[in-house]
Amino acid sequence: MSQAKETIEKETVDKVQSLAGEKYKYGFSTDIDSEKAPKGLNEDIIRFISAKKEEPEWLLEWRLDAFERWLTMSEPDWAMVNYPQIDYQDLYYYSAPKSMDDRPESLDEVDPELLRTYEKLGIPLFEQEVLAGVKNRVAVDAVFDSVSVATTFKEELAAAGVIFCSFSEAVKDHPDLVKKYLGTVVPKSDNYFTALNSAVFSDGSFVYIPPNTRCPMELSTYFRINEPNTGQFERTLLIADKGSYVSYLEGCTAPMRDENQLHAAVVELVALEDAEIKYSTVQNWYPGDEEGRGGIYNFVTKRGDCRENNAKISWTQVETGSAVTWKYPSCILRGDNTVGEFYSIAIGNNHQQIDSGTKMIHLGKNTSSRIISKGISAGKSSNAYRGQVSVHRKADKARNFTQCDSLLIGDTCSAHTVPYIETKNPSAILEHEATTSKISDDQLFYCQQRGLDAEEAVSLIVNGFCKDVLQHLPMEFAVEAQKLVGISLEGSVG
Amino acid sequence: MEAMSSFNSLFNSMQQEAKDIFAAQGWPNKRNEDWHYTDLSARLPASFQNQPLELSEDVPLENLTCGVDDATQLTFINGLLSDVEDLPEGLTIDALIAHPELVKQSDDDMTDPLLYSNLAHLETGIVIDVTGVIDRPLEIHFHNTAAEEASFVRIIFRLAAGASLTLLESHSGWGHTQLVSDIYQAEDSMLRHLRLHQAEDTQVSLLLNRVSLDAQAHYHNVAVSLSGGLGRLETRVTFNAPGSHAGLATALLSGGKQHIDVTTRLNHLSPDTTSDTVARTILDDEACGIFQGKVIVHEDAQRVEATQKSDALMLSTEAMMNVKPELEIYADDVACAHGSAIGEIDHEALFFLRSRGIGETAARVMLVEGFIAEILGRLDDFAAGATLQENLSKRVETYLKKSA
Amino acid sequence: MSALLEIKNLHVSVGETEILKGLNLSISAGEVHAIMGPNGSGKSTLSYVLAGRDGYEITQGDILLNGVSLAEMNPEDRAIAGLFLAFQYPLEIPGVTNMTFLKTSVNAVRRGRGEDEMDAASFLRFVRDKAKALRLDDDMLKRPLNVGFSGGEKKRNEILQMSVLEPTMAILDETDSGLDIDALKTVAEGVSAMRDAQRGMLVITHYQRLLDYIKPDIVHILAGGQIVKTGSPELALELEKSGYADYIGEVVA
Repeated sequence: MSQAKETIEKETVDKVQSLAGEKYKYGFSTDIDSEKAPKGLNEDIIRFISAKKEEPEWLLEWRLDAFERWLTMSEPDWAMVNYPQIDYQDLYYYSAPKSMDDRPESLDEVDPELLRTYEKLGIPLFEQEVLAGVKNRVAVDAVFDSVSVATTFKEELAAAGVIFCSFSEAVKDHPDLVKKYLGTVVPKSDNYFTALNSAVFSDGSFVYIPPNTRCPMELSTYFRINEPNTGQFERTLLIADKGSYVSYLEGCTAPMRDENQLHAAVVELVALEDAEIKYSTVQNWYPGDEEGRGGIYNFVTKRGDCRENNAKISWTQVETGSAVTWKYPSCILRGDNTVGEFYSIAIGNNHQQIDSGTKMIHLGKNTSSRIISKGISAGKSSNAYRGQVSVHRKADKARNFTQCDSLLIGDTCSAHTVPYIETKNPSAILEHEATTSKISDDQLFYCQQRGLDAEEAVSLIVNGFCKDVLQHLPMEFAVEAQKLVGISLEGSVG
Repeated sequence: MEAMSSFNSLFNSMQQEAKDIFAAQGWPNKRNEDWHYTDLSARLPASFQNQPLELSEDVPLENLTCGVDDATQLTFINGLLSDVEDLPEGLTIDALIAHPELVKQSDDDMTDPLLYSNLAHLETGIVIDVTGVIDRPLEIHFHNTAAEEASFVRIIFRLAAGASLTLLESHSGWGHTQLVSDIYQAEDSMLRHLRLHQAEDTQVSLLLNRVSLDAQAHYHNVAVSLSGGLGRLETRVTFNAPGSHAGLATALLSGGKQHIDVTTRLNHLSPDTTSDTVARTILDDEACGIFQGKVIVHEDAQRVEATQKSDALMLSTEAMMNVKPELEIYADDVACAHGSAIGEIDHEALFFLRSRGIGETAARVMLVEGFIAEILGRLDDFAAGATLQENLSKRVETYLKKSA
Repeated sequence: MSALLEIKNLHVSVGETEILKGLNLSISAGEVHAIMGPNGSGKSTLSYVLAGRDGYEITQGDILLNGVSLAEMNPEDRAIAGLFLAFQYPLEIPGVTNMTFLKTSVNAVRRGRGEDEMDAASFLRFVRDKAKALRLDDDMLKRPLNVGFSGGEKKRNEILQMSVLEPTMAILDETDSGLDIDALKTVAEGVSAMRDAQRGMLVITHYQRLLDYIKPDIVHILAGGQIVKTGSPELALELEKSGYADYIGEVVA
């Protein structure tokens, strides 16, 4: 191996190492009084959470039923991830800042310490800040441990008929909608973690877009885990009624702590006739340190149901955080002519383990789906794409295109591709392509010959590698995501 | 004599262990990831009578052969080796029972259902040693004469350094056939292996091929399945040293209620090794086709190139295809890719051919033949390759005329 | 004596959309007609509906070849009847060699026309001679049909098919697209060599340059699914200068 090449490879590895773990800038914690449920999980805890939220009886029953089912289930073991056995009795299932006890009516009543936290995170909770600074306005629901602390632009959204509030509020204010749709996309006992979430979920976001309405601004939820030894179990329910459109963003961070923390969320999307949902995630939970200590266990079930004809659901995710990721945002293409999309960048470094992908379930006629997955492995990480494309008997003329590419940086990481492609209908056209490689020496050399140094060259190439996905992110997120990917755009723009 | 009986007792104890495991574990179900699409527990009896049938006088062998004149013939009827001709120089056959250490070596993983079930019921085991360059192909036929027959055979091939052989293996008849072929190839050896599966529509074939390659050893496999009931054609290759290469090409033509599962697992342990896998599946009637291909590149196995392509053509509305092409990569300087495409006959191509005066049926046959031409084309380098291609093309045509 | 190809008041829909809206055209044996038109005028639809492709529904009117209606005929019977379409985008068919394809095609057509099939040896001689004239080497006959062929090779291969199938009515759909000047000349020579008193030709093209090499007897302008103007070869030259703008307007109005 030539010396130049070795230098390049070392620089590549160093460069990528600087992306995550070492420079996790969201790793601070907030010192705030919290009210917690006692440690452990049993019916009483569930009753406690339900009571805390002043829930109706049916929802408590729903939770208890989920809990009963959870007790009979076992943790899935098929993913390519390894982590020590989780002691579910050694966790707190509810934690809320004390000051949130009385449901503050406005931001003025919110504990300044909390507000400072969001300021440090760069999340605008004051509407005037948003108005002043950014051209595109984003409404934010900020979830801190187990509760929503604030939701912005509610009035303006309400004027358009859009409901955007915390899940707890939705249960109180819009019980019919919640009851109608909750659990209809992700059944309680879909898997071990959904059953757990259904039993103990504490808060999350609720969105309803009325018929023929284009949501006037981007909606976003910002999740923050703060308390140690606390699991976060939020639940998002988003309904786009006939002919509506919404773009929804989700971001997540957590403090640096030496112990692992559990995050088991459920996201349900329902798109009715002609509706379109665009759901974007930048997942930046604390990934653990270079030695693999700490970090979030991110066991998430996200699923969208294109329930009626011509609906479209598009998932875009940038996964850079978490110690272990187990996540498969999926689409059920139930209506005719429905469209499902999944665009993903998953970056693993140090000891991170990622097993992520999607499911596209084609049930209706003329349904189409598209999967673009880019996995980058560095350090000692392991990165698996796991995806299923399934065409059912009656799904005439289904189309799928899948492209999953893996890039390996350094020789101590690994990349895996596990696609399941199934059809029972001959008119389906399913195409799947996958590659695994490292950055090509020829590409590097070419860039260097044109005057780029190795670091710039790597940035450029990795950026290009991810471009097909980055371009699907809303502008506000694309910038953050590009920073996260650790690539300066210098040289590729202007 | 004493040595012989101690071999026997070692063998017997190993077989007893396998029987115990089979009794306890039985056949795998779909919760076993390797058997996700082929649930044997739901399809196979929990035990076999396994009383070898009387050998009938006239088994119509010409139906089974690949039609090569100068081939050396070995024939297994109902699991028993019935016929050994004069063997060419450089090729010897011995009974496996005289080599229990070889079974031990090959049964290192007793959790594997194909291994423990084979050993538990084993009727015939042979060891074939190839020490030179053999020009005449070796033809091995497996044929069961009755539906109640279950036959269990193990063959161990050992190719010495520099040895080469063309092996023609065919399966036909009724009942249940389970074959484990363990192939050890020393450096610079070459094995060309045709596997033809053309059995009756109730027949079960579980065929496991395990290949171990030393430096510069090459293994070329062409598998063609034309009929049968339930089939698992599994090939596992281990690349132990640089320069080793495997090419696996499979053509599945399935109809009726056939369930055919092609599974490949390529284990690149060594750097500088290469593999290419191509599978073409054609499904008619209510047939179910499966392709599971896995490429594993181990740590430090740099500069591995592995490509995998699986395409399927669906001819009927009742057919079903499942594909699972996996990559598991632990080294960075690699070029691995897989591609998969599933669809029906290309309507544009069909129109093009018809606009040139070719009738619809003939045009369909032409497109389907074209679809698997690459697989049969790989027989070019085989001993008697032209004869094999001609012979197989005829059989393919018979299948297509039925389907088109 | 009626025309070789007679298209009468042809209305064609693709799905819900009507593309051809009452097209009339008459080509006699020995004539070469050119149809020119802007993108989206219905040129490709015309060539596909003549060759009988699925999905192009004739809602009104008829197509007659030698007085016989093609409308209900399947594509292979039209080929046997003497109609040939040189595709704008010839298909690639992996695994089927060019030679096998040509032989199957020629013998299918001969059989259909009540002629004897050709044996392997005489077919080989026959096709080699034709290929040579088009500067297609033997290697291209052995390769899978159009797979890995350059744009020029594909188009020359189309002309080769035309010359071995000996149609009475040949339609060339944008045969000039994707060709450099040398390839264009070779293709045009091949086409011109096939002009004779028994054969009609319809050259469909967007640009005039192909017509420098294949001189048409009559030029039509297709716009909005109808022939909007018919004239002498000078019409093509005129069009080259002034563009299609006038004709697009004409139909809309």
